[in-house]
Amino acid sequence: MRRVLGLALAVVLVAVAVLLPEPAPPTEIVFPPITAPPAEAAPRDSVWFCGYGQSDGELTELLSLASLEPVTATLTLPSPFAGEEPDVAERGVDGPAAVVVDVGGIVRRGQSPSFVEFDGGPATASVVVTGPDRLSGDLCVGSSSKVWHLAGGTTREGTTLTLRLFNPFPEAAKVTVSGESDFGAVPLPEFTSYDVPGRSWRNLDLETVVPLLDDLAVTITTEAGAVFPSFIVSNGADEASWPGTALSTTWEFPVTALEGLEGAIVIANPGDLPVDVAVDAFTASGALPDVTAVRVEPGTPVRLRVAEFVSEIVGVRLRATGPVTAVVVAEGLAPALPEDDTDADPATAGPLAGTGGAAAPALRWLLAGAGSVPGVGTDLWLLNTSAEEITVTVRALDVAAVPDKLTLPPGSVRRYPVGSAVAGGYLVDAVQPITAAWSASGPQGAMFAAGVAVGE
Amino acid sequence: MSSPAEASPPLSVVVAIMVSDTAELPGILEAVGRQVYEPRRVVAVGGADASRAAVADLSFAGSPVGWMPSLEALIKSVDVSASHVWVIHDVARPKPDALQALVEEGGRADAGIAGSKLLRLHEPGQLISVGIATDVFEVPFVGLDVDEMDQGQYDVVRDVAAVGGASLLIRRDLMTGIGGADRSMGRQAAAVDLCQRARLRGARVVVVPSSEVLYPEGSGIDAPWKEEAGRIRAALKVYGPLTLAWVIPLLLLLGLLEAVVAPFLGRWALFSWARAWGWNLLYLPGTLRERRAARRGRVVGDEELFRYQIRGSVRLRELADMIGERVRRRFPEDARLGFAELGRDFQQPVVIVGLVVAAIVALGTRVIWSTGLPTAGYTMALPDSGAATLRAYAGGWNPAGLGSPEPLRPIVGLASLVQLTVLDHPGLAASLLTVLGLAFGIWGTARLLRGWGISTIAGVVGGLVLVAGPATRAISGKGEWSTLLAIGVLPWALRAAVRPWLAPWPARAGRLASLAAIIGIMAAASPVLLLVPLALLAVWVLVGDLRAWPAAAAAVPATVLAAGLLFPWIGAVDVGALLEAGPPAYWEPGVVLFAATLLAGIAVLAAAPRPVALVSAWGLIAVAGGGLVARLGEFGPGREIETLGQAIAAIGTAAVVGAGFEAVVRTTGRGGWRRGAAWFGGLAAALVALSTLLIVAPGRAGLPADELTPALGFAVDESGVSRVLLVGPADTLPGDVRQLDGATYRVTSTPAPVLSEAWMGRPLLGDEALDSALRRIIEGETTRAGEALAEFGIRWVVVTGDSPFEEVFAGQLDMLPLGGLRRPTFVSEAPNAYRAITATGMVWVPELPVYVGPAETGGRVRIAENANGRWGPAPWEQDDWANVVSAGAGEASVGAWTDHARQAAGSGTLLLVLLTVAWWGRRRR
Repeated sequence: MRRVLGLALAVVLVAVAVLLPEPAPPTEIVFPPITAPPAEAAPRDSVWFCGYGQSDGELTELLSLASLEPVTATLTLPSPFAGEEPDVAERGVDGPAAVVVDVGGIVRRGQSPSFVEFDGGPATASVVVTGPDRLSGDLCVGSSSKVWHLAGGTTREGTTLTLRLFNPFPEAAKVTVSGESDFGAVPLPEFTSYDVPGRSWRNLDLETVVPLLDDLAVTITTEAGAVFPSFIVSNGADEASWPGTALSTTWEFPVTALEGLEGAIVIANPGDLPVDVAVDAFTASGALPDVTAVRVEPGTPVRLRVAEFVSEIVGVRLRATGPVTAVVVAEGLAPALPEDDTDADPATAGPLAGTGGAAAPALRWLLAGAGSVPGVGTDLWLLNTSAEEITVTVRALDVAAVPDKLTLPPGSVRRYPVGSAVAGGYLVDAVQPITAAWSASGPQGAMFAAGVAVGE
Repeated sequence: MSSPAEASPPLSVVVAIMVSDTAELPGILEAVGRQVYEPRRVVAVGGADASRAAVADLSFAGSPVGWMPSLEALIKSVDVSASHVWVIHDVARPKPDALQALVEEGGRADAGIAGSKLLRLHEPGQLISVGIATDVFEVPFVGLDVDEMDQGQYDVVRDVAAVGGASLLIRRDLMTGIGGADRSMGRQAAAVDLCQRARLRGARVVVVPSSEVLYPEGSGIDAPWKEEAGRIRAALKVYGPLTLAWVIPLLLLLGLLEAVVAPFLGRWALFSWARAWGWNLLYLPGTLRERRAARRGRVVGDEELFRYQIRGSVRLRELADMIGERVRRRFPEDARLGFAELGRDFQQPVVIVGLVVAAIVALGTRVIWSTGLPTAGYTMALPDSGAATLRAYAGGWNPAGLGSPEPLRPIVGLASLVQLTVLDHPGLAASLLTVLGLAFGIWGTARLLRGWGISTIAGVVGGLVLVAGPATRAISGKGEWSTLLAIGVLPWALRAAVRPWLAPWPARAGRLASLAAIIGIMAAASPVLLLVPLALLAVWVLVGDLRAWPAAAAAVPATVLAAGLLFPWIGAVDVGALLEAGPPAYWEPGVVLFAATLLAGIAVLAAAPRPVALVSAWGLIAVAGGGLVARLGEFGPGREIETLGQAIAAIGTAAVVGAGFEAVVRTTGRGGWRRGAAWFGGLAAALVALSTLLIVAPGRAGLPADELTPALGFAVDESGVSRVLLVGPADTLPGDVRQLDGATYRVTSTPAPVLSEAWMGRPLLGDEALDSALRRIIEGETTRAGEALAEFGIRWVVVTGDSPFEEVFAGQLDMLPLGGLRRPTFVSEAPNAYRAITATGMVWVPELPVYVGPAETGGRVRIAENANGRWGPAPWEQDDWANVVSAGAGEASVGAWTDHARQAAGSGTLLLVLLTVAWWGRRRR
């Protein structure tokens, strides 16, 4: 009897044990990306990474530090020599204000990627390099990504294209660079699992690796660590640089051209399916919706010359059916060469400018560096893609500055000239979301710079 | 039988009768009066006024018997015409030719001291001693077997280290020179001391076997502490400085070892040991004076003293013999036979099985012996200081994570007690606990199953399965070291309950106390097992033996008493949180071995004789029930419950395997299906038993490999001034973990966490602050993680496995990756990543529960432990989540929690009471 009882109990217990449901397995834990580009200037500590920068005997690098709150900014300029301590400097920004730092006052050693740490905010930074034949620069990047996209490059004759990979972190990074051109995918085997040492940078001279391509876009995939890539394009007369971007289905470009510069929007589709892109143009007087449309095949960037669909200087909005990357690149028109000067380089055509777009409009924009460059004309560009008239307040980030109020008609772009070396940056406040950027031009060249939206 | 003396030398002997009992005086005077060799004079020595009065009326050979208060006084009173003094105890009865033999043979050997052969007074054919050897620690060794007969086998005059004080002849001039016996010593030690001092002056000490003296055995030895004190004093007096430099520490340790082991052999030695050393400390000045006197004029060195000493320690030999005897007595008759006649019966199965099991245990734990416990799961090395850990357990600071006032787990206190008994050697304590856990588990299972009718061999195999079978390997594989120890105690708890309850109430009380103590010790190692004996006993009553109900009934009060031993931990534990902690319980045992266990159990249940079948039924229910409990994760239970279920399954598997082997034996010779089924069950059980060999190759008792200690090797030289943040999957982190968005991490000390850090307390302010800091880091609010973690004293981050944290820390501006290490490791560049640092930047070193550093008058030191007002010295301030205290004393510490300290003291007292009652009841059995 006891044997039966024992066996029965055991059988029942085993059966129940076998039938017990298995707890749900733990889900794979993935932290959100540190911040998804584009970064906002938020009211907290922040770091801005400036991959572009050069300071030497001829070139002056200006780092503009703009903040809406009193903050301390720590500038760190890593040394190109392994193991050597970086140069570090601190500057107070008694926000709302902008401070322009001449990097040459800290160190002059040629290429000078850097990063700026703010102990509060909202704050941001931008870099401008000026010299006898140089006016270039762009915003610094306040976000990190495992995958970066850069469009608008070219290795056609007379231009040099450098991909700078800046790794500000102590840990070495490993990246793979893939390319696409108007001929399709561009193999770049030498840049597969490419090492970028910690607190250093690497310059990849793409015109020597893949020469004579009119359009070249690259994708940088990070396998370990993190990098901040920039394109640096030079045509002999000027240089332009813009940082990597994320993908978006909408891009807004408040500035696409200047007098004497012909602008083009370059769109790249790193996805697997074709993407249809509709282009809206915005003039000072109103919107020109759907001025053109284009299908962007995967792996084949498309260059849209703005002049081909509208004759005036306009702002542009792209609406895509899939995520794409896009930049605006503007080149100076080639001057007429003297007929007897057969040795002259036809490529030294004129100024060169470029920048990324804004994926979304915002209520507040910080335009660090606008108005900081002496001897050049600076314009703010304000784009209202909505159907409403929007009131905008423009204020130089200077203690004594008086805010200026203006209105943006529905679907319009507004060019707002500012003086030369009048401030380290501007703050733009709007009652409805807009997009803002700035440009500068002078005898030494031209540049575009995107604004940084101010977040909550 | 001794050869007679041949001639009488013309010497003059004074007899000194050492008086201990005046009633013995007529007898000894009569014996002396019968001596062939006539002494010149007889004097009674010592015994104070009673002795003096007693001898007043006595005469010897017509002359009154003299009296002297001491040998020294006698020596002074003896004129130079007396050549020798015969010192004899009043209880001794020398044979008529005893003195003559001493005089003649001693003179022939030119001995300074000659001693007699001592025979038992009431059994004159049995030897007591024929001279004495000693070890280097002055412990006498007679070298005779128990009850050894005198067959003339030692009848040769020979040099010896010493002779007993019962009867010895000493040259008067030598005695004058060395100053007689040391009256402060025990009599045995004094005799040895006298001989040693004589030998130091170059005198020979011989034993003259033809001088036979009958003597009551055991006389001439004083209280143990006095003899021990005398031996220490004797060593201090005669040895040179070099010898003393190693002899005295070893003497101290040996005494302590004996004090520790003796209670297990039924006697106390601690108090004697302490009293002996205390006495020597008190009389050290006098000893030093005696030393000067003894060594002045010495003609030989320590080498001469070593000449007749035996190697090793007499005391250790005696202890080993006693332990061996105990072990032999514990084994059943068949096994005892194997031990007793090991040489002849070496091939007995029980001996072979025992040796194989011992070899498996030895090999299966070899890595722990050599390198200590691995750091994995809840297995960690014991802290350096057992005393400090015990203080922490008894109301001190819980050092896990960022610290907490929550009581430590009972295993921490238990392990520190064991550590203290092995001279505060953490590695030795951990190894001992592990091996004892395994050995006791095997032994206990054998005894438990034997009580249920399973033979010793089958029981030993079942015991092996208990400690190394599939369920236990699942436990140890998770690094549950303390549960492994608890499993070793579990069969003893069951056995203590199921043994017959004897009628005398003291015996019952003793059993109950014994049962409570055993359950308490088991639960101290693994608290969730507290109710397991009660549950298993209830099952045994149900399916095994209804008459065993007293066992289950007794387990109820015993369990309640045992719970009292878990204070202060049990008083503060959140039971719900404890049972749900960790990943959900869902044990997935290996299909083959689990099926083999079930099949073995069912086959035995069907085919074996009833007693064996019922053991198998009990085991089957335990296996199935344990497996069920270990899979309840869906309903909330976590890691502890899974381990509980596995422990129940482990004892069940052991019973099934033991019954499986027994069934084969019991059905041998029978035919039919029963034999076939029993063999099938036996084969299945053998398969399970064979799987225990899996612990042999790794050599860690089934515990996981230590991946962490080598990974933290970079911090070995850092004195623990900073912490390390470990990030990775929970099963790669040591002990308790915390979670952030599902990702697990924990903070530990460096260079590696110790056992007291295994279980963390509830999250406090610091833990919440760390959680916030990590959140800021992963959300990108800061890219200077080193700076953010510095306030917690965290200097390093080590990635122990796949973790989203790795990418986060790789993207920090002030976290340098350290190359060439086993695991991805980042070091902070922040300057102040220290656990304790003063306002002036001086770093203090943790020697938990104390921080020490350079004193700064008026200075303040920040202690990165969870804020608590008991930190001092005052004034204490709360710095956010941490503490700031005065740096003036160069030391910061945390005060004790009175309640916890009282509870711990109460638990300790309860354990002592239980052990005392258990011992007392056993004596009354």
